[in-house]
Amino acid sequence: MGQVKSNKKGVALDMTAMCDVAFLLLTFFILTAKMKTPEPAKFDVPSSISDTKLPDENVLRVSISDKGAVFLTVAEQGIRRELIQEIDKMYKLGLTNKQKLKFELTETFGVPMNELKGFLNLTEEQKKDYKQKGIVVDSTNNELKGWVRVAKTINPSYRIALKGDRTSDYVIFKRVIASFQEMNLNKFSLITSMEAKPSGE
Amino acid sequence: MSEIASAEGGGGKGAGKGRKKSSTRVDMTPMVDLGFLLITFFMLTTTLSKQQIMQLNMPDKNDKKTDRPEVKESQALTLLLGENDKVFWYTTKEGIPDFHETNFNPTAGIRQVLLEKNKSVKDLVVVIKAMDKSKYINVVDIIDEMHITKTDRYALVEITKEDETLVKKQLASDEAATN
Repeated sequence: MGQVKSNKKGVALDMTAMCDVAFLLLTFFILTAKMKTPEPAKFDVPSSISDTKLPDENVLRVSISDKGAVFLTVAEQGIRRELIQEIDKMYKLGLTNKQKLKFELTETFGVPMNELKGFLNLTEEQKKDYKQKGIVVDSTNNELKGWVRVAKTINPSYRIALKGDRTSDYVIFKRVIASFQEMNLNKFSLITSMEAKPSGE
Repeated sequence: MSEIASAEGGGGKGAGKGRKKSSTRVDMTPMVDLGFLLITFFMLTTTLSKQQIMQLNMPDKNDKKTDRPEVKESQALTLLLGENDKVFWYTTKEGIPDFHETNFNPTAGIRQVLLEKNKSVKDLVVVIKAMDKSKYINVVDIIDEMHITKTDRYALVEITKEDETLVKKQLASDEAATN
């Protein structure tokens, strides 16, 4: 009996150190991981061989969904707070403080200006079923320009990133690009997914 | 597992100092397992979510400078992006276009045309014109082809009426050929 026991003891490893390392790493990854916020529409990005990474900061993202709706993503909450104040003044929307707070918590949005108030009244549950029509980008009524201009004045170092669904129409893309060009913004980062470089070229 | 068994055996035998010590040890195997499982999960999800970007620079519309370098007719290659992933390309000689149709096939499509033109024409300038019926992916793909074939001089410009009629003519002749 005694012999068997000592044999059994011999195979047992002290796993405290390993466990420590494991949980240290785990904590690190949990803390650095960014929560992925649910997106309001489908954005299946095309792939390219480019391997430049999207910077984490100072990115104003314009997304085009598969249905051609245009969305705007402002990642920083502080900027969203200022943005809605300015937009409220500019378009005379008459938003309440509660609605403004709601906007502050919405990272990505794509509603026409006249529907913004209604959109901000929705509860989280209702929002899931709500189809956002997209920001209006017409030549006569270009609300995207208004949003971007205000965002650019709040944070002048913003760069424009475009995220388009692969099946979205070129016409929408053309209109978005044209409205930026009118504002003298000529540099864009197109968000793509990684693709292997073809060999031998 | 072995620890638990040994601890139980020890308890049955009666208390000794050494056995008591071993019974306080906890088996950490499942905990470590779980830890590494979660690490793997977080590692994979965080590194893959980093997005790539492709830089696109458009010409300045307000730039009225006239000292732009002239592009010779022989240097220019025009690409037209049509519907259903079709690509049309032409070069002009004395004002007469030499019109072709191709696609995005990596081995027999537009890439081969670009590679060949890059070899035969010095300082090739590619003019990309997308038709309204084309998709966003076509634009990204064609710019990607520029990077793959290392064509540095290209521009994305608006399509003209003449180009559209050329495409229509080509499509009509296609249809006539299939019938």
